[in-house]
This record gives sequence, structure tokens and C-alpha cells, in this order.
Amino acid sequence: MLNIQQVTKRFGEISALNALTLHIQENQISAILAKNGAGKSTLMSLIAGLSQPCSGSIEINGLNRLDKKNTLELKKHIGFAAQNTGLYPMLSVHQNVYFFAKLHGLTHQQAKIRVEQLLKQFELTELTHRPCQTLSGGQKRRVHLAIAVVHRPKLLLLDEPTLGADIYAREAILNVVKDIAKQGTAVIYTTHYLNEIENLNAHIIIMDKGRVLHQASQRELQEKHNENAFYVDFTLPIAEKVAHILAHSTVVAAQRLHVKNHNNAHTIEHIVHAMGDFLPHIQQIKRHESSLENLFFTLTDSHSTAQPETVLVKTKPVMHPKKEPSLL
Amino acid sequence: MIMTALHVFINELRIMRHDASPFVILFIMPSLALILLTPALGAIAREYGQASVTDSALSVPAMTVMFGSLGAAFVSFSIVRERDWACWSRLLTSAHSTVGIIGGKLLPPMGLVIIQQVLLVIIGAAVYGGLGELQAGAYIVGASFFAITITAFGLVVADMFSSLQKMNAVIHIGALLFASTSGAFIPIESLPFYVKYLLYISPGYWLVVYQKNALLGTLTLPTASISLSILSLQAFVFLAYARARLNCINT
Ligand SMILES: Nc1ncnc2c1ncn2[C@@H]1O[C@H](COP(=O)(O)OP(=O)(O)O)[C@@H](O)[C@H]1O
Ligand SMILES: [Mg+2]
Repeated sequence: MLNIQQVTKRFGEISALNALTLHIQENQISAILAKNGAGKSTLMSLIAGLSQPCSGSIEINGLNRLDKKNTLELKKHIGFAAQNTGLYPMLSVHQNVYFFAKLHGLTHQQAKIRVEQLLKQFELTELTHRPCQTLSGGQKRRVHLAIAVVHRPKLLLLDEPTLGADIYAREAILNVVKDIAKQGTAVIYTTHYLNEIENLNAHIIIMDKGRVLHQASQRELQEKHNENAFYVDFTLPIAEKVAHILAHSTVVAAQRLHVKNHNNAHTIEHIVHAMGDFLPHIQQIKRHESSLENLFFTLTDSHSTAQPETVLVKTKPVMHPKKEPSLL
Repeated sequence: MIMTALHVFINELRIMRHDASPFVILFIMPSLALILLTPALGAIAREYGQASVTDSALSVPAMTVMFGSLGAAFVSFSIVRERDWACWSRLLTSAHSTVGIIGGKLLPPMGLVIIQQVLLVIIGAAVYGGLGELQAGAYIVGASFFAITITAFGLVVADMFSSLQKMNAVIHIGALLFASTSGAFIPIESLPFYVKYLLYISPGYWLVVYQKNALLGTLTLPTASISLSILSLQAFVFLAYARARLNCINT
């Protein structure tokens, strides 16, 4: 469906996209997860044909995006909802959607029917004649999205479509996106909300600094990365010795041990029990939870905001062997 | 292309219904200025030995060149505003023709500039008379050519400025310079010598030459051809520039 090869885009000194390569299938929602400034919007506007890359190639449905000959054909197949809501503030919801339907070449009758249908789908029927400037953020977002799909595009680009929407509008938007995808439209959805990606059951593309760092389906990601573990820290450099007696453990540092918790088979009690004579030397036990969030933070190097580890046991200075570990 | 232009044109009219400022600036302001300034402009012209020229034949082109050039501001305004609303990228990705978008955007201000010039002639004749020799058809042709050139210039301005504030400041200063160097307000003889060389590249000058003659009934084919050719050439350059520059969002 969409094939991006080695695309680079610079704005003066700033390199917004760095030899980015990406392949997107039809019939699926692909969610681009990235921090602000990672290059999401730049990528979207390149795909939409609103700006040109410095180098690289973009192919959509076998058509070269960068060839001017294909511009009109691609306009018919691509729907784009930019990050900022694009609406004529003084015109009504109906006038806004209708205008873009006409621009896309729908006849008056087709446009009338399509607008009515979209307003219903996006739960905007009651607002039909309201000027857009009187709408709330979430309502504007929905009108903005309705316009992007007015011509039934095969490829839909949604750049942070839930920005400024409350949880109800967000829910409505996610539901419509899922419906649209079900009807066979390929959707590219940028966001920095992880729960939206989980909700959409989207194919995940993690991007940072103008590059794709990781690409996987939700299932693959869960299977591959959803491995919980414990970290056991000691007051003395005894990790090596303990590793011999504790199953599934590997030495991370002289005073730190990594204990795999496959299928959550291990419990704290297990570890504490197996520790034997070494127990008084435990400084703390932390749980490391693997999640999309942690993976994202790990890949994008944002540990400062990440909290992948939960401290479960902390001893001060030596824990009594028989005492229950305190769960913090 | 024609359908795109038509839809954009209708949409522009819808937007204009909510904003009366074009009418105030393009119709009411120049009409008032015409009524108030005509005698003074006539007096200045006589001072410079142009006794044969009627007062309104001087003041009508002067007002046109001053306030008609604000037609350029409306074009730039309508495009810069489109970017502020984040609708420009939407237009570019929806409309099947970029030229159609530009055409549709130019039509309303173009129409207003033509109507303005007709309105000024009527008011000038009604209040001060002296337009018995008017070559009406030629006058409207001149008004139309000027309207195309000046609105096309508005596209160039829209490309140069990203914010409304910057654009507003520049365009008002521009209109003033433009009008004062057209020879309409002040006789050319009284201007500093270097301005005389600038005159020939100003659409305002060619409009004034053309319309003054049309108003006095002295427009000849050679004069008309030169003025209209120069106005067309300028319009062509502005439109070609706009076509090349306005089809991406970064401009
Ligand atoms: N028109 C522009 N001019 C200069 N720099 C830009 C422009 N657009 C984007 N950038 C820069 O490119 C980088 C990527 O921006 P963007 O694509 O908007 O990121 P995101 O959408 O992921 O937040 C940022 O550093 C941004 O400042
Ligand atoms: Mg962005």
C-alpha cells in the first residue's frame, strides 16, 4: 500500500526525517508512536504530498508520490486530517463538510447524502447548522475528521486525531476509525497515547528522531517483549554466587541479579525463600514490568520519565529472614 | 479547474457574508475620500499647468489606484487567513486543481475592484460632473486589467508573509507608496527624479495613464495597447510565481 524508502527531510539545520524507511499494509491501522518533534507531522505531510522530501522515495499503491503526474490520482485516494483542525470558523458544520465534498468532485446530490451520513457517523447531526467557531475542541476534531474521509479514501492519514478531545469524543473518534478500517481503508494514525494504540489494536511503529525504531503487531510485541522480571540488588558483590542457586537468574552486575519471571511463575516469596544464607545481603527487590510503554521508553531513551521498575522489597539494613517482605 | 474555481469562489462569497470589511474599505472609504479630496487634487493639477483636466478625471483614478491596490491586500489576507485556519493544506489535498483554487480566490476581490472603479466614476460624475466624454467600455476594460494585475500581486504578497500582522503593515505602506508614485495624487513633474524611473514598473502608473484618458475621452489605441500589455505582462509574472510557490504548505 505505502512504501517509503530512505526518506530524508531537512529544515535548514534541523533534520526532521533521517533516511526513514517504512512499509504499510492495506487493511490495517498503523499507529505511529513517537514523542513530540520526532517527525510524525513531517512524515504525514510528505505522504499527503504537501511537501517534498530532500531525498528518498514514496510509493502509494504502486504510484510514485513524487511524480507530479500522479498528484491528482493520489488526491482521490488519500484522506488527510492534519494535526491542527482545519475548519472555516464562521461557516456551519454542514457548509464545511459540503464544501470539501464538492472540491473532491461529488455532485450536489452525492455530497448532500454523504455529508448527512458522515454527520450521523460522527454524532454531529445536532450540530449541523452550528458555526464551527462555536464548537468544543472535541466537536471540532470530529468535523475535521469527517472532512478527511468525505471522499472515501483508501489511505487515511490521521495526525494526532484526538488532540484536545475529551474522553467521550476520543471514544467516538476511536470507534469511527475502527469502523473505517474495517471497511478496508488503510489508516496511519499518529499519537503519543499508548492506550489508544491498544484500543485500536493497531500495528505499532515506534519512531524517534526522524527514524523508525521498531515495528510490530500488538501480538508480536506482547510475545516478544512482555516478559516480566525481577531485579535483586545486594549489599555485597555476591550476584555471581546467588545466580547458581536461583533459577532463571542472570548476573547483570556484581551486586545485581536479573530474575526472569516467565508466565509470572515467580513470586517474591519464591525468591526470598530460595535465597537461603544470602538473604541478609539483599538490599532490594524490584519488579520490572514489560509493556508497550516501557518498550517505547527503552527504545526512545527517555528513562527519565519512565518508571519501568517498581520497588517491591527494600531492606534496611538487613531484613529478618522470617519476616514477610514489605510490599511498597 | 473551472469547477474547483467555482466551488472556491462560492465558498469565498460565503465567508465574505460574515465579514463586511472589504465593502467598507473598498467602497465606502474611497467614495468619501473622492468627495472630500477632488477639489484639492484639481487645484494642485492647475498649479502644475494642467488646466484642461477636469477635477474628477484626476481624482477618480487617484482613488482607484490608492484603494484598488487594497484589493491585493484582500487576496493576501484571504490566503494567509486560510493558513491561520489550517485550511490551506486541506484545500491543496482536496481540490483537484491548484490553479482552480487560486482562480476562485482571486475572483471575488477582482470583482470588487472592478465594481469599485465603476462606483467611483458614478460618484465623481454625480458630485463634480465633467465626465461627459467618458469612454465607458474602455474604462471597464482598463478596470478589469488592473483588477487582475493587482489581485495577482496579492498572491505574491501572500507568499512573502506568513503572518497577518506583518502582511497588513507592509501592504498598507505599499498601497500608499504605490498611489503616491502613480502620478495620480501628485503630478509627476513634482516628484523626485528617481521616482520617475520607478513609475514605469508600477501597475498604478499604467492604470492612471489609461483611465485618465478614458475619462477624458482621449484614449487612443496605442496608449491603450501599451498600458494593457504592461498590466498583462505583470499579471502573468505574478500568476506564474504564485502557481510555482503556493502549492505546498511551507510557503
Ligand atoms: N516548517 C518547518 N520549519 C522548520 N522546522 C520544522 C518545520 N516543520 C517541522 N520542523 C521541525 O522538524 C522536527 C519534526 O517536527 P514534526 O514533524 O512536527 O514532529 P512531530 O509531529 O512528531 O511532533 C521538529 O524538530 C520541528 O521543529
Ligand atoms: Mg506533529
